[in-house]
Amino acid sequence: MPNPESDLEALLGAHSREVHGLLMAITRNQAVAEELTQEVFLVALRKGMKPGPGMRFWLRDVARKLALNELRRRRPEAFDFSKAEPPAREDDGSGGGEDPRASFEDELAALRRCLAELAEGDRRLLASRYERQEPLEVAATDFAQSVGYLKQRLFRLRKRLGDCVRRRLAAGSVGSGESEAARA
Amino acid sequence: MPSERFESLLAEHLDGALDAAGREELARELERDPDAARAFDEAVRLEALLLAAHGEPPSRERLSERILRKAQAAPVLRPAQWKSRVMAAAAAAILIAAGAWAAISLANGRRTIGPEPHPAPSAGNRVVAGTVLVDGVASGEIANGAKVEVAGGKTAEIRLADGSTAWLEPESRAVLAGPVGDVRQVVELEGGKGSFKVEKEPRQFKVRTQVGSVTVTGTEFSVELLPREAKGEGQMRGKLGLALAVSVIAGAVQVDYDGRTETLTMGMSKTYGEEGEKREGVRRDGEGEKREGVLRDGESIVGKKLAVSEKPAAATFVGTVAGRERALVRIVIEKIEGQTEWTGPKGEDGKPRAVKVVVGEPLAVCAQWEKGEDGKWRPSRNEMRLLGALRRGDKVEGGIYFDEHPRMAYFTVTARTEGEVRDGEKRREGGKRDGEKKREGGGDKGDKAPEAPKSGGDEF
Repeated sequence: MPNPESDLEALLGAHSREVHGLLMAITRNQAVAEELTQEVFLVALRKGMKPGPGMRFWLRDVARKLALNELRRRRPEAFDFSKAEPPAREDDGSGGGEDPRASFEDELAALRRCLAELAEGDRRLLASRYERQEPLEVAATDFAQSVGYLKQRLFRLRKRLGDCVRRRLAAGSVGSGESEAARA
Repeated sequence: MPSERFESLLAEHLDGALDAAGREELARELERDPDAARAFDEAVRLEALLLAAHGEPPSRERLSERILRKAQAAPVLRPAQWKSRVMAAAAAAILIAAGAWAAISLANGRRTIGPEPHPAPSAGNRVVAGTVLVDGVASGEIANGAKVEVAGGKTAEIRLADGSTAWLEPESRAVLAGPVGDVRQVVELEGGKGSFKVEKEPRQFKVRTQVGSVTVTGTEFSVELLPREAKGEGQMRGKLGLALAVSVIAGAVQVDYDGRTETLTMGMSKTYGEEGEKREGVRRDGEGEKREGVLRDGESIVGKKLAVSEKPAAATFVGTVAGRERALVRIVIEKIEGQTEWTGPKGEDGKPRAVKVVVGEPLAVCAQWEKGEDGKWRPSRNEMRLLGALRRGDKVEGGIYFDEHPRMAYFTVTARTEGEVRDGEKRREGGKRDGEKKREGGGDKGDKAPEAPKSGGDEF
C-alpha cells in the first residue's frame, strides 16, 4: 500500500539537509532556500517519488534548476515540472564525476575530518562565514585583516577542503561504507 | 577549463557579493560552458557541506508539515478553477472580516504549483522592481489573492491592479487580496512594512493587519508591523506581540484600531499597540541600552538624528558615504576628533581586537546583529532600514563610543547633493560599481594564491 507521507518523511530524512544546503549555496538567501526546499520535496511528493538509488541526484537536479531560475531572477516557467522525470533505477553517473557510493553524510564526515585538521584561525574564519554568516567586514575587524585578504583566504580554504574531501572519499577513510541505497 | 571571468564570478557568488547583473552573467556562463557548470556544481556542493557542517539542519518536522499542507490545501488546479477559488475566498472575507483576519489570510493564501503555477489574471498585480516570491517562486505577475513575500535585500515595487503602487520592504509578507465588496483593493500585511501611493478614487483602498487597519481613498502612506517592546518576564504581551506604525505622507488616512477609528493627516505618524501609543519616532530596542531613530517613509533622512545611544561619544567624525554592501555602509572619513584608536578584548586567537579610524580611509559601519527567536543571527532590521536609506555621496556626521566593539553613538545625514530620495525608494546609478572602480584596499601580503575575488557589490 503506497504511503506518500512516509515516503516524504524518508526522503526528507535522507536528503533535506543536502538539498537545503545546495539551495542556500546557490541562492544565498535563507528564506528563499527554505521555500525552494519545500518546492523540491513537493515536486517529489506530487510525482510519487520513493526513497532509493538515484533519488539524491534527481532531487539535486530539481533543486539546482529551481535555484538557477531564482539566480536568474526569472519567472519559473523556464523549469517545467512535468519534465522532471523520475530517476533511473540505478545511478547513471549523473553525479558529475563524484563517487556515487558516497552519501551526503559520508561527505560531511569527510569534511569534518578535514576541518579538524585546519589551523584555529581558519576554523574561526569559516565559523564566521558559515555558522554566524557574518559579512566579511565583521571578520575583517576580528582578524585585523582586509576584506580582500580574507576573500583570498576563503578561496584557498575552499579549494583545500574540496581536495581533502575528495582524497578522503577516494581513500574510503570516512563513513561506515554504508551506501545511500542501504540507508534508504 | 572554465574562464578566469567565470572563476571570478563564482568566487563573488560564493562570497555573496554578486549583484543581479553578475548573477545573470554567471547563469549565462553555466549554460554556455559545461566545464563551468561542473565547476559550479562542485563548488556549491562543497558550500552545502560547509553550511551543513556549521549549522543546524532544517527542521524536518516543519518542512514535512509545510509541504503536506501545501499539497493538501492546494491540489493542482487549472487556472480557471484556481481563479474561482480565490474569488470565492475573497467574497467570504466580507462576511468574516470583523474578527477573523487570520482566517482571511489563510483562505487567500492558498496557492499551488503545477503546470501553470502563476496564471496571469485579467486584473493582476505587476512587480516593477525587486524580488517577490509567491509560494517561494519569484514572480513577475501576481494574481489577486496571492500571498507574497519580498526576497533579497531590496524593496519590491508592485503596481497593484487598481493602479495604486505598493513598496514592500525586504522580508515583508502580504496577501494582495484585490477587490473585496465595495473596497477596490485590500492588502493584508502580515509582517514587515509597506508604503502605498493610492490613486484618488471614490472607492476605498484598505490595508489590513493583525493589529488594525488603514483605509484611504487617495493618498500616500506607510504601514509597518513592529515587534512590541519587550516586557518583563511573566507580563502579558499585547495583541499578537505586534504594534502598528502608520505614517501619512500626503492626504489623510483612517486608522481602525482596538474598536475605535482615528484620522491621521499629512505629516502625522503614530504607533498603535505600544504603551502610550507613541507619536515619537524613537523607540527602545530589545537590549534597552540603545535608542534607534525610526525613519518614517516620506520623512527626509537629512538632518534627522539616527541610531541614538545613551552612551556619550568618545569621537566625532565627518565623512561621505562611499558605498554599501548588504549590511554595511562605507563612509570615507574626512575629519575626526577625539579617540581614534581602540583596542578591545582579546579574541579567540588571543590577540586583542583593534580599530583605527583614519582620515581619508573608509570606515565600515555595520548593522548590529541580533539573535532571532529561531536562534539565528541577523542584522537588526531597523538598522538595515537606516543603512538602506543612505545614498552614495551623502555627507554624514556621527559619534562613536567604544565598549566591547566600537559602536555608533549617533548618526546624521547633514547634506544630500542629489534630489531627495524617499526612504525605501531604490534606484541604481549607471556606470561601474564601486567594486569595479576601486579594488578593496591592501590585503594580499605577498600571497600567491589565485586572483583575489573581487570586492563586494555596491548596492547603490
